[in-house]
Amino acid sequence: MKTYFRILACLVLAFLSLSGVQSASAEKGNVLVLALDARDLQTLDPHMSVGFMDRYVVDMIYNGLLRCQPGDMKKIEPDLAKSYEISTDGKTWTFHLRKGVYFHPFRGQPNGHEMTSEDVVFSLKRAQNKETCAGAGSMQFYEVTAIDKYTVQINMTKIVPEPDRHFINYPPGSGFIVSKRAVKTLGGEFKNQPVGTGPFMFEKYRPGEKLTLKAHTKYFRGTPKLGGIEVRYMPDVNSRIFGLESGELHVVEGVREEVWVKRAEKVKNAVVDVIGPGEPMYIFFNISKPPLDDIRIRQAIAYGINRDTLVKFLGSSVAKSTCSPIPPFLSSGMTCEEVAKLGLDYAYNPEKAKSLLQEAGKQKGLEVLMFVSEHAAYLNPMTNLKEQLRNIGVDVKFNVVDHATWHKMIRSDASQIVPYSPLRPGPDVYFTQFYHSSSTVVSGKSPITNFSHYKGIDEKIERARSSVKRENTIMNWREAQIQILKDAVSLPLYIQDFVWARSKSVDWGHPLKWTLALYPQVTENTTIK
Amino acid sequence: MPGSIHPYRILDYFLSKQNRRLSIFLRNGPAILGLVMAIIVTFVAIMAPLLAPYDPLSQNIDNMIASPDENHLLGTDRFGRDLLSRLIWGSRVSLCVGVGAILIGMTLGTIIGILAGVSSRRVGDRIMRVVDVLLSFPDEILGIMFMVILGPGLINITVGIGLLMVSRFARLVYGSTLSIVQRQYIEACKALGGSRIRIMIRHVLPNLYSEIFVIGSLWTATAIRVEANLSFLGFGVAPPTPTWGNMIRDGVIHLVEAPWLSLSPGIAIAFTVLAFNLFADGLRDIADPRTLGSI
Amino acid sequence: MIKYIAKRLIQGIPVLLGAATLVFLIIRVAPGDPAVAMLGAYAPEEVIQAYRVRYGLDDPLWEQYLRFIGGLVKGDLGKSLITGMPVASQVINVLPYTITLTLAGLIIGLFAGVPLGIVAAVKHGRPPDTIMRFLSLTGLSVPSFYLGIVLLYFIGIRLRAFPIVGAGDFSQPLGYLKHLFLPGLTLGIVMMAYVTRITRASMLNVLSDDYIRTARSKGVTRRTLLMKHALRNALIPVVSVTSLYTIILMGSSVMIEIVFSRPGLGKLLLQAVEQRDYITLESLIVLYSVFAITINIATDIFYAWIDPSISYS
Repeated sequence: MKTYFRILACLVLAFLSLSGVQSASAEKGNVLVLALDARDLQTLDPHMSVGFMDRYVVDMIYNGLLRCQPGDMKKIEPDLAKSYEISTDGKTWTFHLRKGVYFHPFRGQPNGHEMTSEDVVFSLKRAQNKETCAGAGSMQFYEVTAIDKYTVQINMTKIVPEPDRHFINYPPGSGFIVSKRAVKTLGGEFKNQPVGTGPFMFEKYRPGEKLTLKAHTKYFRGTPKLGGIEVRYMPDVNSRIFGLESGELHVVEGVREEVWVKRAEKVKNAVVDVIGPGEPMYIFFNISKPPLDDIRIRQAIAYGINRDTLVKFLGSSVAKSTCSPIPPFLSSGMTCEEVAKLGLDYAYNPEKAKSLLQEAGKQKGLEVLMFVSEHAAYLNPMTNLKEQLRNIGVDVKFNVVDHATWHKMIRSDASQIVPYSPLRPGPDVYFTQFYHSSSTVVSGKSPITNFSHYKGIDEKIERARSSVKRENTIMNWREAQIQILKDAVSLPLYIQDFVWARSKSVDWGHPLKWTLALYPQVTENTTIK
Repeated sequence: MPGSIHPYRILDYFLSKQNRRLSIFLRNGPAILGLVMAIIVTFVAIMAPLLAPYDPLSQNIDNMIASPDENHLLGTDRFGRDLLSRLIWGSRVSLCVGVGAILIGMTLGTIIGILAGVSSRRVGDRIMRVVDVLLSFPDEILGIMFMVILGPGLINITVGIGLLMVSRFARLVYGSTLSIVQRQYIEACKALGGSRIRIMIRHVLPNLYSEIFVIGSLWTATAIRVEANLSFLGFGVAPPTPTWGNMIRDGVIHLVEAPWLSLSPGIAIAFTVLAFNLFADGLRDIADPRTLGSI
Repeated sequence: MIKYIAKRLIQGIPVLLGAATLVFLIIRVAPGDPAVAMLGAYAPEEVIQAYRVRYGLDDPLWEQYLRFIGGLVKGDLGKSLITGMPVASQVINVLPYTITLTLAGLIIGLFAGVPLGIVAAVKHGRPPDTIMRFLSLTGLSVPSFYLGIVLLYFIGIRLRAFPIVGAGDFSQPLGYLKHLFLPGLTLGIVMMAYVTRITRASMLNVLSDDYIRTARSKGVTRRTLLMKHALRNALIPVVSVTSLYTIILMGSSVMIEIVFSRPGLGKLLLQAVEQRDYITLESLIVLYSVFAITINIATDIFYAWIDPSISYS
């Protein structure tokens, strides 16, 4: 017996002596290891990817006719198109495509193939079809034809403000250019085997674990400096920080809260990037069914929420209040002071909330259902919001599901109140996708994300679109926002920045001002020292 | 030691069977400890509104993830809620679910078990086969399946875990019923034309009481542990209502900066489950030797 | 012997069928409408109906049942709601992780638990026994996921001695073992608690048997006694409950996989729940029962091997 225990003890000690987490940095052939706060990807089809975790990756794989300069969403520059002309009446846009742009290899095309106008026409038509594009509703304003192999003409059938913003490489349903042949060959597999023209191409995918991309040597802006990217799906907060500390991870997605920023700042050799413009968080009320069809109840809920508390919860270094349906960093967006002057900021007023509920006959209390994503960016602030509403007698019942499922659920019109934090390239996209009746979820003509079933400003939206003078457009947009606030269709809460942390050895390759891509962007210029 | 006469044993000789059992139990240190621990937890659960210093749900954003201090003995969580208060209120869920589930399982399981036992061999076999299939699943898996169907909520988790317990009790009671039924006086009853229900109630059931009670208290510990497992996974009572399991789940993210958020609820669970285990062990020592063997 | 194996395997099939049928009934029949359960009561009727049609929930029950059983027999476990990839291939990918974890727990539990149980039995009534009894009872009382978190915190975070997340890669066995250490140890401690108790009880039983006393009085040395006679007989009940404990371990492994973010069946199961994919959930639950039934059959066969008289009954 004693010998048995002695042998056992020796074995255990021997094993323990091998312990010690590897502190070697992951030098796997110049591959950037990036950890995302997600369980898994949903789809890498750029026309269908709505989840944030997919948007990052799609940005690395695809291009559009135009793009925002990396790190600066205010500047639009040519991407796959090397130049373009606009006719004098503004209705015809002619794009001249770059020559020698190669798609990534795929089944049947081991060397890829050159991008031509055929692919551009195919992609832009695909973006208009609601079966193949999540944002098709906002792309119904043009007809596209190929003039020759490298020239594409777009005829605007309707006037749309800032049309160039629709042709950039930004999901969902925008100007992403995909390979016609690849889509036809891969069919249903395309969503897990993306084929684009961007600096990085798909190599391998292990569901729920990681996605490996490798450098596209024929990239038209030059061979990427990185050899590849390894995207890891790591929803566990602790493991991401430890990975950063140990050097196993180069870049990690943070939690958009000050608590996390403080923790990450303590990591040696790491830098925290808090980037704007951030995403505005709104809650949308489904006004088509009781009890939220009663405006008094919606207003009561609005008065019952204290934005300052939410901002304090998240941390003022990563969040700030917002009161207008269009965020202030876009044209026609209004600051909280401006909205307050109009009396539409719904500043925290629990007494008023309770009296409104009483008027509506709900003094005993009220129950509403909210589908919430389990992701911290939603679950945490909504948990605080739920508690705030409890104090005025509104019981918000949560239905917590994983993020990808949540996106499906809210688009199936299953939630009475929908929290959503979208970043869109321009006001028309916000209005079209969230407030135009044709975008109503499930029942709209081309459903996108009008969770409210709102039909009150269709005219104003269309008038804004067709206005030739910019001041008229902005005036219509202002009026539309005022109407939205008066009708209490949605409640703007706060704007939350993006939080990322990276090893000091990572250089993004471009200055970080304001990114539309929701992350600092990995390009051909990104390096690890 | 064979041959020596212990003073206590002389005393026992003079006591009635019940009192003898009691005296053995009272000498069993660990069992008394278990009983006291269980009483403490029950007391805390009943007196929760008076004992808890704060409302377990009210959030205080100005004081998030605070270290333990004189205002908050166990600190606060991510939403500024007092941990101690949540811990105290969490005991209600654990006990309600634990005891409630056992009562459900005990009642339904005993009925099924006795019915199967007094019926003909074939019928009994058939019923038991279904029970055995249910028993072949690991607890957590079956629990997840039930909770997915039933949905969240206190009643639902109690019923869900109760259903888990039904098959255990049914198996146990069936076995005991079979051995009781084989006794000759039951045969005599049957021969004399006694109805089956009468046999069940008057002859079988009384013999089962002590066994069911002992095993029931043992399985209460299991039920409490299963509830903790399921609420850690996100089933059962929904947040923000505190349960020890979901408190641990919420605290894991902050394990580095505030380990007490996860560590304290776990100690509470272990304390409670240990209490019932010790108590039940002591009961088993004084019960009939036939009940030994199931763990 | 071969005949016995064949007999047991054939006997297992109706049990398997019964388990699958039970799961099917519970999930599709009991709640009344899995579509409403998934989408919630607030979703518009057309969406709910579309979901029903998509999953064939609209068809008559016996048709659904035949489809379900047919799929299982073919090894088709459905497709993931989100990625659209077949669940069976995901299961095969992660199965090795779950199996190695369960095995690790089993091995640690047996190799540590049996000797400790013997020591406790031999030193019955004295301090080592009391300590052992208390420790094993505590081991049973602490929920397995909490034990995992405690080990994760003190050994993984404070000491940084072992990795706390993921499973590593099979291609790097040393790294894999390091990732396996903490989760395996957690399950091992849980298993140890059970095994110690049953070994001790069984050993005590055997030690008090008459023939042991007779052998002792004849002067046979203590060690021979233990090793030859008592142990062999004492271990039989231990073997029989090992199958039960392995099933308990399988259940606990779900929790441990979550705590240590390991890939495995448990993670797949919870993913199916979070995605409200009841159809995949069904298949995975049936898979667990397949394992449980297999373990039971394997134990019976093992029994027949060590005690051939059983195979004649």
